[in-house]
Amino acid sequence: MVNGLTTVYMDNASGASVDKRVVEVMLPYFDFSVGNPASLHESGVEARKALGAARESVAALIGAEDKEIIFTSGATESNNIAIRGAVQRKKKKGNHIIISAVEHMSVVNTCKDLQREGFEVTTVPVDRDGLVDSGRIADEVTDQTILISCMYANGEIGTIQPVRYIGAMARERDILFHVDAVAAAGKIPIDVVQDNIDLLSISSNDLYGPKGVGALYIRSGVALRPVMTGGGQERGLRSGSENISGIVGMGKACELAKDEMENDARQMEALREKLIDGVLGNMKHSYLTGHRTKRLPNIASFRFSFIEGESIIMSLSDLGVEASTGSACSAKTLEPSHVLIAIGLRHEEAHGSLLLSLNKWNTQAEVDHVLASLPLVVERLRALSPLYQED
Amino acid sequence: MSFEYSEKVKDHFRNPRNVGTIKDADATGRVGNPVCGDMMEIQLKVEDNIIKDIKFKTFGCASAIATSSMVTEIAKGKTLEEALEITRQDVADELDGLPPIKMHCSNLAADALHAAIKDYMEKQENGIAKLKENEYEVAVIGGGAAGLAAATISSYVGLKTVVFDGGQWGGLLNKFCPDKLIENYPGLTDKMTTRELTQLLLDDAREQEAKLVNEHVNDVEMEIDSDFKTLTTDSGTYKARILVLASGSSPAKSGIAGEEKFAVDDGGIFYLTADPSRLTDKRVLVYGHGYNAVSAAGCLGGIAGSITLVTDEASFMVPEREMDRVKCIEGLKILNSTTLLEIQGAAKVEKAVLEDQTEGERMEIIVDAVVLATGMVPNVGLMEKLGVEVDESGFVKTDKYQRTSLDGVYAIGNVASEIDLLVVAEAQGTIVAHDAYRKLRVG
Repeated sequence: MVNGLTTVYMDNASGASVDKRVVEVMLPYFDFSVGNPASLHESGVEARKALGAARESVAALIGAEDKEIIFTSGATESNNIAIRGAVQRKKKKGNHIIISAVEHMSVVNTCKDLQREGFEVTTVPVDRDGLVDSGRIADEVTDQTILISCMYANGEIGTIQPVRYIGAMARERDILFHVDAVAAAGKIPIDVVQDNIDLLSISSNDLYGPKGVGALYIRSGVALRPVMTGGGQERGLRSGSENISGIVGMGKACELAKDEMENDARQMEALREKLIDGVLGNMKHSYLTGHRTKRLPNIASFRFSFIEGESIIMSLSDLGVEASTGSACSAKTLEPSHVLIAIGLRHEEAHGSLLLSLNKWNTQAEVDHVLASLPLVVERLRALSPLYQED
Repeated sequence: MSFEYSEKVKDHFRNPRNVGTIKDADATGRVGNPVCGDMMEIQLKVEDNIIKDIKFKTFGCASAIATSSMVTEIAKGKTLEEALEITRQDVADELDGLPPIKMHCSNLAADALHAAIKDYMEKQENGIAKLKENEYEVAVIGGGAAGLAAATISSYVGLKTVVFDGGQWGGLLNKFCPDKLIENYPGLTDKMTTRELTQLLLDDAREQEAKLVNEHVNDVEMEIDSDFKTLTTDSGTYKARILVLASGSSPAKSGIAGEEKFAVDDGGIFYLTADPSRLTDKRVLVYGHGYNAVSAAGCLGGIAGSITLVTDEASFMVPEREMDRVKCIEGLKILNSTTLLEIQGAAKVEKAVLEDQTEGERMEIIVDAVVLATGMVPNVGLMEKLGVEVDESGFVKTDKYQRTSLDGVYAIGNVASEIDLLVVAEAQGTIVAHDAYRKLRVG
């Protein structure tokens, strides 16, 4: 509660609440009687069954088969297992990796690390809307190329990539195609078969499931070299006793997403449109970031000239609105978001960015509150700014 | 990140003190850069060495705004010397500390305050604060490439600057083929016409807030015992510490028989080709030397009915590529080592009498117009009576900083040298601006 208001939470790309129905199915698994799926006794059998059911739910969400899913500790781990595992396995064939300029840091930094090991990495630029051109990727392919990694959609600017075309191009050339689908999964339909995807990372929390769980889809027939060694769980690719309660939660979250995604997306999209129209229509010197239509239903992303993002976030927080920014001033590295730089924003423009990421519980009234608060914040900060001259 | 801020930081961020600007401020300090995410501007009103009023504007994060607000609170009412003692650490301490990562990047407020105080002290020393409305640090006579460059960069380095031109801004840029692409300006080659460049030069001068006065300077006086020069125009007088002569050059009279008679409106003699359309379908003789003659012929290509390009020298002494370009103009004929003896006609130019120097043979050609590009003379005019030294060709003598024989007087561009290259003119203007800055501000 701030100033008598309930907080409006629109920072779901950073972390979302867990659906109560998910929590409910998880609770029994904290019980003493739940065993290790590897154990032979009755409790172990039960755990094994639960694990299998969760695997089926995850597979069903993305059009995969259950044996093609392994569980991980989250998307960062999924991306590491996929990229490192793929290139280590394929390094006899070549040493070249292609990624887009708007990938998550768990892809960017993993590739940087691989560069130090002698792999070549090409980063393909995006256009002003954040779109990758599959033709541009094809142009960069050499006889050394072994992996292409491109996200399904970007959680910071909402832009949805033409993964199906990139996948088809990669398949034709016998190059592995990895997709980071963290932001897209549960928001828009994904079909790994039609989309020609070999490896796909998802995270539980972005599906209103518990934090600390994720999954990796590995197309049947694709072999990875493990990056972690141990007891051989999850087909030897993710050793360590399974996080059974978390996995059960993720399974439930996927099941709910499959059933409710269409409805949730329609609802969020209406709110997103209201936010975009309300901001661009009523506020001077405000701009949308990301593609206008090829956009996730839950992402409304903007930039405002002459002011800085951390100040926007702090002031919005005072008015009961929680959101995020790609400004350097809010980052540990003091660098503005590489995604905003990749879409061609100058640093001073990126500093003025605001990301409103919705969840399925956000309401019209909350959007109205944001649209009433934002102009007050922006006007106040502009009045303080030496860069702004009233016109 | 935001929740690591102290209550005091949040308070100063939510309710910043002393926000705004001061009308008639005595000094301004600006630090930071929007690219880095922080920029602050602090203004002061000083009375009897005490900060009577202080206002700020800040672009940046919460701590940038809070530190700005806090530094104004601390500094208000202090003497300048006391205020100079305020450190970044003092500001952070008064705010009950800042998150470590913000200590350096967003704690520039003390620097902005110091910059404002230094600005005040410098202005006091230089007496700029005392400059009256019509008093300037730099006055530039002539608004061609050299003059506009000098005015723009003088303003850019912070000198109060005025530039005069009684004619069209841009000088010779607008008088020779203004729609021709500039071909010898590194970085701009073949990308821009002189007309477009003139507009950019003017935009720059305005952007830097140089004062542009579209009037002739009728008189200049240098007063003894005053470091001001006085300039008079039709509408008033101006005073300036530094005078920059950038009055350019004008086409020379050729002295050829008949020139006097036809060098009148519609007589058929031209010196410049600012408006080539006036020579549409005419039979034109272009006579003279070097670039000016060749480029005059060049910009008449496709417009004039026929062109005869003549020089009394063995060649035009321009790079081959320049010659190649005119050579392919349809209906153009080139005569080297040929002297124009006389221009004849009743009321208008009708005929030109030429003599081939090698054969000694005379010929007459029928022409409707003659373009004379035999040379340029520097417009020393006003400065002559002040006794500025000129060389044997009539150019104002300068040293490597473009200083003339008179103290505080510079000469640049075509009035100072026969090198009529655009980049050189702009470079000379830039040199003068920096030398003037050293002279007035550094000492």
